[in-house]
Amino acid sequence: MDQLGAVLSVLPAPMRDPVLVAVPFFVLFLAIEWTAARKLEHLDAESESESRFESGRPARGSYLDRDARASISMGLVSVATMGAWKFLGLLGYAALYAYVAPWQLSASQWYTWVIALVGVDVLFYAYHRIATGSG
Amino acid sequence: MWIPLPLLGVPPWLVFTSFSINLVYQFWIHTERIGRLWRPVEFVLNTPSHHRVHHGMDALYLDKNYGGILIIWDRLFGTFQPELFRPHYGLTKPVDTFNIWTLESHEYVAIAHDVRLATGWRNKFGYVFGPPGWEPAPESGLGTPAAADATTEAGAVG
Repeated sequence: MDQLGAVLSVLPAPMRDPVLVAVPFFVLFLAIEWTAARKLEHLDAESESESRFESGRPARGSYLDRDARASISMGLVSVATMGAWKFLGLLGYAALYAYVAPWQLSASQWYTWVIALVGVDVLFYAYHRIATGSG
Repeated sequence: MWIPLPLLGVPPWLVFTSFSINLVYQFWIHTERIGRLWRPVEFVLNTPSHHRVHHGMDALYLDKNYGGILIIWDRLFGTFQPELFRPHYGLTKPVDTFNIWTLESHEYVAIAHDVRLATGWRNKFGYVFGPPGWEPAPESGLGTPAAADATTEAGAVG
């Protein structure tokens, strides 16, 4: 945790990303799920054979090694490209915030966080739908 | 992507922090190990059950449950679909490869192929901007989504 703190302290306070703190928990929960998938595989095999689903599907919640590896690699590439876009975005957003916005909300007010979290969530919905769906 | 928020006076760093919190939230909904939760939770929040539907390639599950933290956006805007059976993951037209370069590029290659073969600007435009599975209509000239033929991001990282 000290090392993580040292890494984070290099960054200016506003850029300390909560995802970094969450990574160890991601790894922990992946390990738990992977173990559960292996332990419970025989239980799933029993219930699946009675179900209306075709055979030959992986057990519920199980991992396919090659699939997981491909997903993680693509995720790493995505982290790099997203980082570049975020840097450009930050410059543009900072200009809008400083010169165009009619007022500047304070991050120490609770409602600013509500606006930010709910605003990001509804915009995420919109872009997610445009990017992968019929829009 | 987040332009409206700095325009509303939200500090830019807080926009990115909020997006990170959103993505951290979405970690736990990517599992088949959690069934269905308490009804008020399923009503308001995006849950593993809702999100399995999002990644399903079954016709009933395509273009559904786009929410991040809250599922109410899907309920409000008509893209909500409850989980009625265990989804099938993957693409409607499987790529059949684990090569990440092919995985990243094949859909763009497929779109370019369709555009090259399409006749007329209207049809070329439709392949690029139409919904997944869009095809030129034979007579009317209006494209309709062929849901069973659509590709989705099911099974992908997003």
